[in-house]
Amino acid sequence: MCFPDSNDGQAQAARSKDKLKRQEAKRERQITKGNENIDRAFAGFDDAYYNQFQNDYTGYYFPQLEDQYGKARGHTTASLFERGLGESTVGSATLGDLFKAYTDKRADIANQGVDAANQIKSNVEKTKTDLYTLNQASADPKGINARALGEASTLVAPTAFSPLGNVFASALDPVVAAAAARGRSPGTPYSSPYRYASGSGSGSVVT
Amino acid sequence: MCTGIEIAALLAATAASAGGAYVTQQGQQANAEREAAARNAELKAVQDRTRQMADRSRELYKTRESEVTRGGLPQRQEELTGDRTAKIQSAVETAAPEAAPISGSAPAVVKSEVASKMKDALDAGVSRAKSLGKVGGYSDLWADQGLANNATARGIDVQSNFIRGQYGILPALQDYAAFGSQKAPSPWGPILQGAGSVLGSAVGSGSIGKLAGKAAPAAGVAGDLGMMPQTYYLSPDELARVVG
Repeated sequence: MCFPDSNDGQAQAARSKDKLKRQEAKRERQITKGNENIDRAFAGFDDAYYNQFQNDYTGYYFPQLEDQYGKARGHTTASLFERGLGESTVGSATLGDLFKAYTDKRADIANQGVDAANQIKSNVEKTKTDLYTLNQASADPKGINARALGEASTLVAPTAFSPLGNVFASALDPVVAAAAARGRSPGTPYSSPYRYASGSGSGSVVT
Repeated sequence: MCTGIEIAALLAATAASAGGAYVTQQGQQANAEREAAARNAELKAVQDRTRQMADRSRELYKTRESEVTRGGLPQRQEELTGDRTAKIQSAVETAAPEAAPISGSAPAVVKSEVASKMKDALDAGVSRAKSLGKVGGYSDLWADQGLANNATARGIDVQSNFIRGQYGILPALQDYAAFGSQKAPSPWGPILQGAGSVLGSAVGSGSIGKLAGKAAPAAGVAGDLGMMPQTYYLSPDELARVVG
């Protein structure tokens, strides 16, 4: 042909255009794949998981509560019988108050367990969202899969719970006060506040 | 003064120039139209692709919207309150009521009194569990809705990312398409324009008249043709006649 044409350039432009489209389509597929990987890594965080978490939460605190309640009940009962109130209305009311404090605390612990599970849910969702954002920027399904598995494992790790405080201190206040008052009542023999070591020992008076 | 052939040549030159300009302009116009069509085609293709993505986003939003309208929220709050209440109530009801530390020899009235106090405490605990569940149901609802909104937003954000990606490559796609749509301009436009220009110059210089056989001074023709004027050398006789 007498005049040069731009067929070569046009073919190259067409190839570049197709390549660009393929690259974008590939990016979309990779993001979709990455999101699927994230969803898969976090699939374990379902209702069953959160219910189990709540059970573990109460399972951690209830035994401590039972222990404290048992001791408080023992102290109270002993104090009541010591004062001759073991089988009285006052005694029944005192034990009833103690039991109420115990049930209230059980309710509080169960309630806090639900809140704690909600907090975990929120953490999981936030982590998922962060990973989705990261995935959209990187479009690297393999990398995001490893990251998602790592994040999910971190979330699965048990949370450190603080031990239960002294729950029945206030419930035992009347018992403690009664014992103290009895100790100070007239006719009560002197009881030194200082305690001495018991058992045999040797001593000598140096003159 | 112009001869007929010069006028004809002048008209032909003008016609050739005009024709050439027309052909060139038509070629440029056709290229511009093809380029515009190619760019528009790419834009439409991107719009079609992104429309599907936008539809998916809209679907996600509508699904979420349907969950919070038409009584969806009160119903969900009722469910969540029920769940929380059941958990708290269960914790209270499974408390150890055997706690009554009464000796077996205690009078029946005492045993009854203690049992009554324990039952009162248990009832109060159950009542408190319901209250806690009811209050907690509000925060449960908003936490639940927040998570659902978040999940929807994640899905929509993904589609938005795809749409941004499509529009991000659009300028380059349009440039490639525009380049691909170009065709080499017809050679006839410049050829005709060139011919018209040459012909016009020839008419202006009088060459056409000479070619047509019109007499012209040799020097003039020579000058018109761009040649040096001829030099005449006089013989001694001619010189003597001139000088006289």
